[in-house]
Amino acid sequence: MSEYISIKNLSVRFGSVEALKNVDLEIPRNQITTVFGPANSGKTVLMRAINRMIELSPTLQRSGDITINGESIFRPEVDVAVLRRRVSMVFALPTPLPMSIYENVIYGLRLMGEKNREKLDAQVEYGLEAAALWNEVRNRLHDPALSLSGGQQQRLCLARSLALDPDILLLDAPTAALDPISTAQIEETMIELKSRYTIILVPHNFHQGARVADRAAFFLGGECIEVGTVSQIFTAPRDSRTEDYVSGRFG
Amino acid sequence: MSERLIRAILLTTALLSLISLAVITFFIFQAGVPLIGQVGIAPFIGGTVWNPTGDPKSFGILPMLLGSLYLTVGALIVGVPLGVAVAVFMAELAPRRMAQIMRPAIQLLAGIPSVIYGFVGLTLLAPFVREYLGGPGLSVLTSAIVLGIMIMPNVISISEDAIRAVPNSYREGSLALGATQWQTIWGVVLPAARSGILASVILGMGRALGETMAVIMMIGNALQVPLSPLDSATTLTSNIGLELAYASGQHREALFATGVVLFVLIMALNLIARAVSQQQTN
Repeated sequence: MSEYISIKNLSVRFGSVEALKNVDLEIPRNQITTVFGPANSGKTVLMRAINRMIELSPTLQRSGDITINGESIFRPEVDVAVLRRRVSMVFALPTPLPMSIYENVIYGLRLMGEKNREKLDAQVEYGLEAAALWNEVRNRLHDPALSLSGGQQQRLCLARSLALDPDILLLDAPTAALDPISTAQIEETMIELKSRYTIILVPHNFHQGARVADRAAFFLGGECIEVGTVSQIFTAPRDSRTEDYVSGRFG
Repeated sequence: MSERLIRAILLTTALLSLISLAVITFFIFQAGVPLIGQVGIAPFIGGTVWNPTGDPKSFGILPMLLGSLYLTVGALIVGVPLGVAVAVFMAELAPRRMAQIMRPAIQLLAGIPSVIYGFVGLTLLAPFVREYLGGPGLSVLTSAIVLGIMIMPNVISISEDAIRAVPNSYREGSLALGATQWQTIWGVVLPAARSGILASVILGMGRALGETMAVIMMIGNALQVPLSPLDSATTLTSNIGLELAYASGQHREALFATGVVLFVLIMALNLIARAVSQQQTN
């Protein structure tokens, strides 16, 4: 197993709230790693740490490190904008921008200064195709993104990330607001995408994690309790707290 | 019984405000429209000579109309970019404490009587303009700068509300795609807030068009079509304010007719403001 993302002794506080406590976690390349646990267990904060979105909070205090390919993402010479394109995030609630479908997908590319129409068109098709949305919107790319249904909006957000050709996808409960059919479509997409991307998934519920992921990490109260393959974590957890959670005794 | 009484009182007060609007409208139109009929709309609005007491009499309001329009546009050029910039700063960038201090200060700016603004413009800005830019100092430019500052509080508070109302998910979505904070503000937040910002601009426009006292003090009140921002001019409102006290007969009617023009302009702006602010983004 080759570690790709390494989280080393990471602690995060917002003011007096301790969100992550001494987290150590290794994430291998081209696999889906699911980070699961009850509410307020630090899953989202962990995701937001990997693309440095946590830094939007003025009360942040952080110690420890995250490396990608052996290099710390907190080095002063790292351009946060570049990092966030390599490590692209899809949020729990669809967040289309108030512009057309097409403009949404190329938003990140535009920011990078890409002006070549053919390149943009190609990336729009690639992103929408990969997110399983192309067939539904190919004839109305210039309609407002907010006219799409919730499930379509979420796949649009996924397409928007994929169009940037990132290395890592952070999916923070991407199906939380979706119906079962859209959920199934997104799950299928995730499995198809893992050959090209390294995916970290906060699942909508831990069953989803069990369905799509290769590895699983159980979080509780800001601590990483246990990491392992999906089958080990969900069938033979070593820690009693993991066992309580996956067997439905709390959460 | 008392429930019904309270209902009746509230209904009456509500009706009173409607009735006063109707009375004002009727009164102004009744007093002003006949003169427009006698003179004709085109000579009234397009005429360049205003000589209501001379022989022959002449009622052309074009100089004041243009004065009002130039001044309003000038005030918007000064006030809107500054106001929107302050609103962006307060809503997006300023630490909470700082915004909490700035907000009442800006409200105070809105509460200063216009005669004080006029006084400051007259004694501080006009000599400065005369000295360094030329002209008489009492000019369209001087008035536009001061009026721009006067409309800023309106622009700031309404724009700030509009910017704060933009869902945070837009900002996060944009930042997560590698946008800088500035790219996010310019490319996502401002477009999403545009209907509110536009409404603030139109309300500011109404204020600039209607301001009388400060303008009388600063614009020089010269009955001429201003050819440069440094020229003196006069406006629809300042002309009414200055002449109504001694006007009689047709002169008085002509001032009311000027009021009709002003009234129509302001009504139109208000309708546009309502339409714009009700229009959904997208």
